[in-house]
Amino acid sequence: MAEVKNLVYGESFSFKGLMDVEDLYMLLDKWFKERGYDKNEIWNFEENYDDGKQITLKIQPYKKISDYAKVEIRLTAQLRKLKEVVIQKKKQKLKLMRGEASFTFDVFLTTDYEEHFQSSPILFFIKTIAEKYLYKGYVEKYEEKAVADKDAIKRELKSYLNMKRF
Amino acid sequence: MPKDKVLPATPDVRFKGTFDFDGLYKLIRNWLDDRKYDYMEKVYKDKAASPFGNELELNMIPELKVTPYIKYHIEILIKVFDFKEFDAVVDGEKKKVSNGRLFIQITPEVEYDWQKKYKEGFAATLQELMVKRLLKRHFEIKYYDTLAYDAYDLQTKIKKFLRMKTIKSAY
Repeated sequence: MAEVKNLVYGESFSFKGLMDVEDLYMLLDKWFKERGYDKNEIWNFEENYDDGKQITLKIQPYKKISDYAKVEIRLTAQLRKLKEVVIQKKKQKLKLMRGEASFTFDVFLTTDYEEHFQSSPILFFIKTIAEKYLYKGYVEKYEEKAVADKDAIKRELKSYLNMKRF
Repeated sequence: MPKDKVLPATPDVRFKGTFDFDGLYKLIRNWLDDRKYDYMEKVYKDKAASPFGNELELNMIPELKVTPYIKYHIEILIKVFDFKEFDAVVDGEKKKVSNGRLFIQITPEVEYDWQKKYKEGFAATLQELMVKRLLKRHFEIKYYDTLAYDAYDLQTKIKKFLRMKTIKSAY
């Protein structure tokens, strides 16, 4: 099995107010596409309840940095009590949703995802030594890149939602 | 050779509310027909499961012969719980609509050597070397990506039909 390193786990923020869910989803999709991530949607639930719509989204886009390392950012978005509202902005009517949203980020670095060094104990040993000493700099660089990407998408989301501290 | 999954997680859609089941079925059939898939249905089950409604299960297994060596499979599993049908007026027109909890899973797979020409002996070893080592990237780029994004396209179309909020896709 490939080795998965957990770099960030359960970092989250929440928001309450007006949002355009379609644009928000597009923003996420576009952001990951522009940065070379492949789409990987794990959950996409939409449920209608009496107190509003509930959307649960879990995406885990991944980027193969090389044929050895892969970065994955898992974003879980839970949008609750969504109700449609119409607001007027500069003489234009906009259909938005009012509700609660929470976003959780996890970041993973998967090394040897093609499992080239798993067939024998000696290969696995060589891989571990190389990762710890010879290619330590490279692995650290990948880790930094993954966390920086997570920070960037988090900033982008907060800025999109007009949150004050971003 | 066994079928190879092209995505780490299969695209799925879960929806609770009112929808047009006949329209959804037609949408999927048309999407498959447009792409020249051979349509097959493994399961069509409709059972009265609870007082809240019926349980519906459909398993479609369409396939497409891309080349004499490569075949695409898209397994579409549709499950509806608490399924109820009733008449309603939609856009001034009387229509039969459904209500329930809908679950759709789309599993795209690639099959090599579907004619089973190289299944035994030295030919099988050579085939494995070609598929898993020499031409791995070629197959990934040419066939895996196409099929994966086709599956996402179908998922987006279903979401659009159900008027879900996450319908825009950049891919």
